[in-house]
Amino acid sequence: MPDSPRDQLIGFIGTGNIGNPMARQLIRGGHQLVVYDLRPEVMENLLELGAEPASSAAEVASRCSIVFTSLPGPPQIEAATTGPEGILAGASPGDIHVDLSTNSVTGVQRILQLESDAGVVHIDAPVTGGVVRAGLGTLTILGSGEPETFERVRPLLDHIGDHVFHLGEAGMGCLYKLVNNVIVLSGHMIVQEALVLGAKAGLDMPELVEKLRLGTARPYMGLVDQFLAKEWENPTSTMVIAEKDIRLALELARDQQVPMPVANAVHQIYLTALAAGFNELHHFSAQDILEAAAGIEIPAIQLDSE
Amino acid sequence: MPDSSRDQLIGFIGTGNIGNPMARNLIEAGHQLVIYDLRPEVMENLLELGAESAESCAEVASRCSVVISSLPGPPEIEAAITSADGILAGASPGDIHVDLSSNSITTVRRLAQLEAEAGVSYIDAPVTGGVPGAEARTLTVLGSGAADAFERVRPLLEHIGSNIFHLGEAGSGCLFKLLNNVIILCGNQIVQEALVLGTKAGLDPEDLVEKLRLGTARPYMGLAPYLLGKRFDDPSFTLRLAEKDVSLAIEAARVNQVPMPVANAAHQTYLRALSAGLGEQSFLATLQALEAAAGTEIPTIQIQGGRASL
Repeated sequence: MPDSPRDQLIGFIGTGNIGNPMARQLIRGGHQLVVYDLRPEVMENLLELGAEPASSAAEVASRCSIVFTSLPGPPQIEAATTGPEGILAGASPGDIHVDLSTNSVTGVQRILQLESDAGVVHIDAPVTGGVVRAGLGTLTILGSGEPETFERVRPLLDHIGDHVFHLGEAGMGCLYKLVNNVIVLSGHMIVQEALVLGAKAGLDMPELVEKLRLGTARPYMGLVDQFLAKEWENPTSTMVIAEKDIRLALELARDQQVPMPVANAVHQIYLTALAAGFNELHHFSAQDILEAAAGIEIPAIQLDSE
Repeated sequence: MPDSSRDQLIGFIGTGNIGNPMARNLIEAGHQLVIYDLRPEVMENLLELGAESAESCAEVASRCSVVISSLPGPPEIEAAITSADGILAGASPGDIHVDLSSNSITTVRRLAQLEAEAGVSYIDAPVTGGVPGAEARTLTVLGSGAADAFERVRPLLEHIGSNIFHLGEAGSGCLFKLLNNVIILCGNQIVQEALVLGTKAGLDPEDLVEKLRLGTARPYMGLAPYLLGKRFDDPSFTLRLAEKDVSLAIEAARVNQVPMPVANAAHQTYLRALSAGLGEQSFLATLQALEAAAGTEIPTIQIQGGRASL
């Protein structure tokens, strides 16, 4: 164990995908990190930058009074918090757990209760902006939870994002995030349906895209070069995560009794994509499902992005 | 009848909504127009600018060798062409009919065939950019049909838009247009669903929109001020027309055997809004159908920014 007192070390659990660049921003901000991930290989670059490794979430929590997590979804968050080697097995009263993941609103409330029983303050602070903005430290952070605690960790969050909000009681951050993501993860699907229709009806794709970019559909065309390039491997955002986020939004919609016909149609497409084994591909690969359903294949082409 | 020969006059049928500013731009560019609309009041401003009025589509076609139409949808277009006092009742071989409306692809092909049998060249050239684009002459014109006839009318189209395209055989223009519209008409539905969810779950809608504009949902938020402001009266694009365009896209999808689950879900909401009597409101008034379905109401809030036109 290093000599640094627990208050000088920052814990960071989940250093893959978007967690990795966020942890890097904290190191760049001058902080000494203790990191843990189930996959040792995604910690390596951080260890080279001076972070110290731990062998469990419990060890991270035992060494640091502030612990960040960035994890794929509710089951992983729950395991990292309440599992036998989880945060609560190592934390002390007065500690702070800042969860940057997208969780269900009910999941946040359950963990908040369990941590509160152990004297730990839970802050849910999901981020929006994706891996690219995480690398630049320009994420939007949708924070919520006990306000005084939030203000204590705000200087750390300022290293990760350039818009850091406190939105109310615990769960509000995830609620904002789910509303954001249901738009992002559903909005592109109608563009892809329309491209498949145009392709099957015989239109030339580059010409169609050029015209759509000049029409009223323009605001929706920002990602179209990626739909046509079809580079679904090594994604910044996977199908598993996309299906999870839509499902969490629909779970919330059911709790709130809000019919969402479009989001439900989109969810069916994501489920079909998971059933086809697209789990670790980019969520844009749902387009392959739409193409297969129409019995066509749009050839991959490289267009200029706008 | 005036002395001008048929080649000097331009016919324009359908001078309401978006047709009106397009006709005005042709007049301002120096053309003498013969106009017709079922509703005399939407012709008045054009008559003041020097246009001549006609009593029927047939009269317009008998007086002008080039006739332009801008109509709500397939039934109106079909009636304007094939009814007893329609274009074909007045047109002569060698004439050109340019239809600026959004039509179904199968109807375009049928009408092109009927007009071809009468010696008339049919050009389908739907426009995108909405009433503001029409007023500013910045429309995108998605033209298709016989290439030589298209080149003859291109100088006229250049008075109404800034991007004039010839996209292939008749029907291609409408297909481009339907794809454009299905994207914007269904894309905005998910934003509405999400705003209803956020509000019912207890979020402040203004705060929510502010945060969404800072997040990855940003590209989808352009119409948010119109949604929260609930500016659904005096629409530049009605919900009735929106339902028609989504329905035409779905018809094209059926003809081509392309399943479109999202477009079909969005269409159900448009139908629900129509049956609630919202047809003459803005296409964004589907928000009220979604609110009613959720048993919640987003308070009306004026925020800055945005655009709402097709």
